[in-house]
Amino acid sequence: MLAAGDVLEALHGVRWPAERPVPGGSPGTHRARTRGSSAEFAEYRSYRQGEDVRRLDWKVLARTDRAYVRLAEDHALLPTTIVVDSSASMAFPSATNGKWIHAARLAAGLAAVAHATGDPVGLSITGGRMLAPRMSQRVVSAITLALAAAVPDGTAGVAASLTAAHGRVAILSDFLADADAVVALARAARTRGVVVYAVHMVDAAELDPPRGPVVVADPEAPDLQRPLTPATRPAYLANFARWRAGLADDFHRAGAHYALVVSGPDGEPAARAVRRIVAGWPESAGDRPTAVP
Amino acid sequence: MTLLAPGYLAAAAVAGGIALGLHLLVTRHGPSAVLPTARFVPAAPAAIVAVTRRPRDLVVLLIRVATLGFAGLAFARPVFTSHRHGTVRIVLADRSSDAGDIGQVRDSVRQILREGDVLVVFDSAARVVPPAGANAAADSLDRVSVRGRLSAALIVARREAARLRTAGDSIEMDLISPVTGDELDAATPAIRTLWAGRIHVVRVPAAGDSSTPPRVMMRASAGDPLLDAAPVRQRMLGAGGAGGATPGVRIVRDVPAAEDSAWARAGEGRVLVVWPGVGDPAGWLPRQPVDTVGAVVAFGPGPIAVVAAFARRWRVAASNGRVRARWIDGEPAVVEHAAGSGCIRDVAIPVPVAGDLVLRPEFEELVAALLRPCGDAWRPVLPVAQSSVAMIAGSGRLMASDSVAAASGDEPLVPWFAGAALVLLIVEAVIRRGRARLSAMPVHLAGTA
Repeated sequence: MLAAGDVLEALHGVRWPAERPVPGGSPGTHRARTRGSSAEFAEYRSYRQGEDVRRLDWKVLARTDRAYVRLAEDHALLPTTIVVDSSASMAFPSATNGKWIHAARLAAGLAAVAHATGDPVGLSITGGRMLAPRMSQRVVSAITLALAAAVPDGTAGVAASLTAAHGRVAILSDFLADADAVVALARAARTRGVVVYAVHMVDAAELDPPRGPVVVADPEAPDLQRPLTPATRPAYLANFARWRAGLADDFHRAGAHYALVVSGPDGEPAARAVRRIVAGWPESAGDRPTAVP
Repeated sequence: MTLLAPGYLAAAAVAGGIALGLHLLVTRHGPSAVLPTARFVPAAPAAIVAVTRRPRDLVVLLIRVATLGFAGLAFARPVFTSHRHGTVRIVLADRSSDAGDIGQVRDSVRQILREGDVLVVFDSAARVVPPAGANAAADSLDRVSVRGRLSAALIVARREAARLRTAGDSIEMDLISPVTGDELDAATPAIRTLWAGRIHVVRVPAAGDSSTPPRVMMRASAGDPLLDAAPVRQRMLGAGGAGGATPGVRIVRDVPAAEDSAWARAGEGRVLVVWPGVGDPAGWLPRQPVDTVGAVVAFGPGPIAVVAAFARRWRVAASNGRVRARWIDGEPAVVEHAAGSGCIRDVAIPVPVAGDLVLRPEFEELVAALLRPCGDAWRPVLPVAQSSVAMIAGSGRLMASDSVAAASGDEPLVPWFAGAALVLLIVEAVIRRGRARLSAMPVHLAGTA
């Protein structure tokens, strides 16, 4: 069972506002790009032939003998999908599955925050279960249960989850399987108006691997075995850091939000990471304020 | 037991150490771990070479070390050394034509040779006389008409030294020879260096040495012009020159008799010079008419050419003899035939009664050449430099027996050690093949094997 209660409790009252007006649709909490007929007046606009005459402001017509349509601010929902990478590389360290558990707690937290904002929330576990976005009161519990039941395995990447995404998508992955494809699809999704959050999951043991001579193997490619020795360790650290920096730059260029989250004993707490993600800060910083509720 | 080439054993010890060191090195994959970001580790062989305290595969290591040890022993050539005392002597006796007096050679051999010594008699080839027959061989030592070759004698002596290395702690070589320049060749200095010790050189007079010219007996008329030739006059029996009382050369200026031939056959090295001044010797072909030729050429210590108006009276047949001088047109002028232990030399050179030809130096050289010993000794005996004799003699101690490489039959342990090394190699190959086969079997089969 995924223990996400503390995360949900810590995120009570936190909201996940849209960064810009969302497309119109079902009434929601986010300001929409369309004008509607709600009580929140926005402006008048000249009547256009063919429009519904019921939208005419009769009082203005009576006073000025001119036909105007009264426009009001519109609010819409922002469906949010949490995509969680459940490939074998997420089951690390193998003794604790710390990276996967941390990603699952983050996913539950993000789902709770999005649900608390009033948006429908869905879940997509790569190679596994998929829950369509909905606003049910139990959706967060359902997501938590689905995450608890999932077992990280296989080599499926997260790129497939982006092909039909809409609204807002938060991808929690280490991006080791298909980083280039994910970046390309994120760029395409952005053009469709999809807001993409790339949450890069990295375990502390990956940032500071063992120092002794050890042969390391890629869980998704068992044939790939490399000697990690004091001689090769500096090159590993440099290569990994260069790759992370390049990935962050690629996501930024694609118009996606990028956030690096470190799991492990000294990693960033899940609640704090969620606050940082919904605030749009790419990296953890202890002196930064928490996300605005 | 001692080792003839201990360096190989040392090399084997070093190789064994290297083998041990290699067995202490283990190539392993080390502890393996899962790291999703393994792709960022630089590509390199995954095997890790480490040093362990306990050598891996102890059985194979022992076999390899033993193989190297046996191979090293085989190459080191161990030989059994008996309790050796004293000096072994090898006596080289020169019986070639370079030796002027074989009697002196014989006397020297008798004086030096002791019980158990090895006698090597040599001329152009060398022959080993076993100790049992050495004294008899020394007594019957005869001079032969071929030139001596010191290189052949030294090689045989070296071979005998290898055979006798276990008989004594040092080996002495006594060389009884005139040591002439003809007996040395280009290989002699190199062969001499193979004998790591001094050589006792007993020099005997060389053939043709001026110190012992054979005496001359001449049968001629009182006014024979040849009597005025200096070589004849000085060496005539009864003259004041040195030499023995027995003549070694007989000059017959008239028709030779049977007694002359018998004289030549009776004594060793006797030379009968048939040099007719009057009459025609039996078997000679008179030339009709008498021919005149301008010069005659012979070889003494060097080329001798006498230019004069010689009137050739005979044709000398060279079918069964050796030409010692020729007329200028190539026709034989002096022919030598072997006769028993001596020889008969037919000289068809007329000696003019008038004139001073017999007093001219080149004619005297020709006469001296015609009085030289028989056979190959007719050629000049080249003198040898004192430095060459010193080179042959050498200096320092006698050659130590241990410095002599043993003959192949003296190393009985070598094939055993080599065979043991070979067997161990085969055993190692069998063990490794068996292990490879076992490791290739499925686990459940391996467990039941």
